[in-house]
Amino acid sequence: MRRHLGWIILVATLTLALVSLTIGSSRIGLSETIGVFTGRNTSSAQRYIILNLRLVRIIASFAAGTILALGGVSYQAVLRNPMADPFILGVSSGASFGVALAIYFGVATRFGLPLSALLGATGTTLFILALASRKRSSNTVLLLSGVAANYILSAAMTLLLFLNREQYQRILAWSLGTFSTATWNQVVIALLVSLLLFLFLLRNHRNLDLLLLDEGSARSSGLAVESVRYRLLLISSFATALCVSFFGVIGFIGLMAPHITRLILGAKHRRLIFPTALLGGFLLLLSDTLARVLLPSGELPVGIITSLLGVPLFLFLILKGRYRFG
Amino acid sequence: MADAIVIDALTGGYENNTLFRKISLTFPKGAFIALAGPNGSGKSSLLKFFYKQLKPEEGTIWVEKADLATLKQEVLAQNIGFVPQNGRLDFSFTVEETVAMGRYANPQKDDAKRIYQAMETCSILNLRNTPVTRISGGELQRTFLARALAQDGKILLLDEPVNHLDIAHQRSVMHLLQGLVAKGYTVIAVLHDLLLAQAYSSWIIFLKEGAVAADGPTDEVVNEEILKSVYNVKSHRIYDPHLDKELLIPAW
Repeated sequence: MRRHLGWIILVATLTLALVSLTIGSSRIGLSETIGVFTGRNTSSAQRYIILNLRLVRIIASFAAGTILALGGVSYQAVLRNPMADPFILGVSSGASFGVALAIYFGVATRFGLPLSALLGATGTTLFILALASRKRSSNTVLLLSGVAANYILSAAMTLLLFLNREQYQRILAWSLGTFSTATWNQVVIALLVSLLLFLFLLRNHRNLDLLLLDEGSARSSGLAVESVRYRLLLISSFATALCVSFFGVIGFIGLMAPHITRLILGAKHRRLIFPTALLGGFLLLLSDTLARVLLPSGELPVGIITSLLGVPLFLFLILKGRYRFG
Repeated sequence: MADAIVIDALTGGYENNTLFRKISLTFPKGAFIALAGPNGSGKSSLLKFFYKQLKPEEGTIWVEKADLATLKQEVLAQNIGFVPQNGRLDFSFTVEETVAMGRYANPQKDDAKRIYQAMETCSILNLRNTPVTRISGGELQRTFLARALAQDGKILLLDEPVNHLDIAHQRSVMHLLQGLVAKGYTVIAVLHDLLLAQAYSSWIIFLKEGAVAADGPTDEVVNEEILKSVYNVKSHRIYDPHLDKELLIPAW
């Protein structure tokens, strides 16, 4: 089981994807769904629903899940903190603030919304990175700066909401995350970013291991601590920022996926990275499928599902698995 | 005798706190060197210069005749290993995976053998597959020591290696270090316990407020006047029949 975890999750993901393709408000059976891909006789409406409504968000949620999970792996190592997730340094609140600003100034168009989220997220990231690149900034300084950024940006966003109450719904919906607006363009970009982040982390697997040591041990073992941390933060933050700007703030995947795989496989990153990415993708696809079908009409924001289902599962695993942070 | 590390007029420390001002020191090769002095005297900070967590503002540090400033971190790692005080690892690596991190800077085909030997030397082979989050403080200390040994450097830095260990574990770690010195290692250990320093070290350096209060062979340097001037503590000698020599102990 341990050696094949990655492949087990991959098979589970593909099965889930197939199930997810066949369920939804319009009833399209399994054979017709397969027919869409094998070129058999199917109506153009069916093709449109399967390919442009369902498949696109299946791949989008999977790709976003992999990015968030990999971001979690990276952040937990760089900050040497098991509680870190990709949003801990303010990427999500930066993006939310950007969106609130765009809505306030009426530029939240189809392109304006993700763009303003991306600007907000990357702006926050750059600010935090500027702090990180300062000489001898400790993990604690970095974490506290992130927390401070989170607070001030949340306050600023709330202020904008307060001044512009009729748009409250819209900002709230965005900030809870959704894949219902995903486009093929976004999917291609997200998949590419996910792949690049995956390869980058895999290349850095030994660096990630050593970052978890105390600074003295890491340095004396030969790790160039500052530049490695900076590179990892930079790449992971931009990947996360992009994901957030496309699909909104989806909590908990980045925290949960790395911990579950670590529980089964241990902490060594060479073994951890591939299954963690897949698990993140699987969990978010599962959450999005549930978000789609749980309500008889309409759908739930996916962020609610990841937290409502994820947190109890996570606590159960931690307590049952005698998981220790030390 | 050649020197493992030579400090020439080192000035440096932390931002807004220059700890050392033009200090010079030599660390003889193949010696068991104790680094002693009151809390805050700069013992651990001095070690930080050796693995380049701190950089000198002025002055030069020579490691095996190479200028430390020009040595790359991964080259340095092949000369110097470091064992932290109260080392902690909050993530569930196994003991063997942790020791294997010592091979980061210079991976070789026979790494498995080197890792095995380091674990054998530190008597942790039986724990090799146990996660470090589930072993005792003494076992973790030996795991970190094995990680440093796996680097294959001949200089070992240890920050209070037996702090928090019971006397049986203190004895086993100190014996282990003594055995390494016999094999040609240079051991530089921050030690608060002056009895341990007198029992095991051949060379001692007393720091006080970032300055060198005394240094030289342990048996010559440790005396009543030094303890009075460094710690402001009175002391007297008692005879230890096991070591067959007199040891200085504080007047409690």
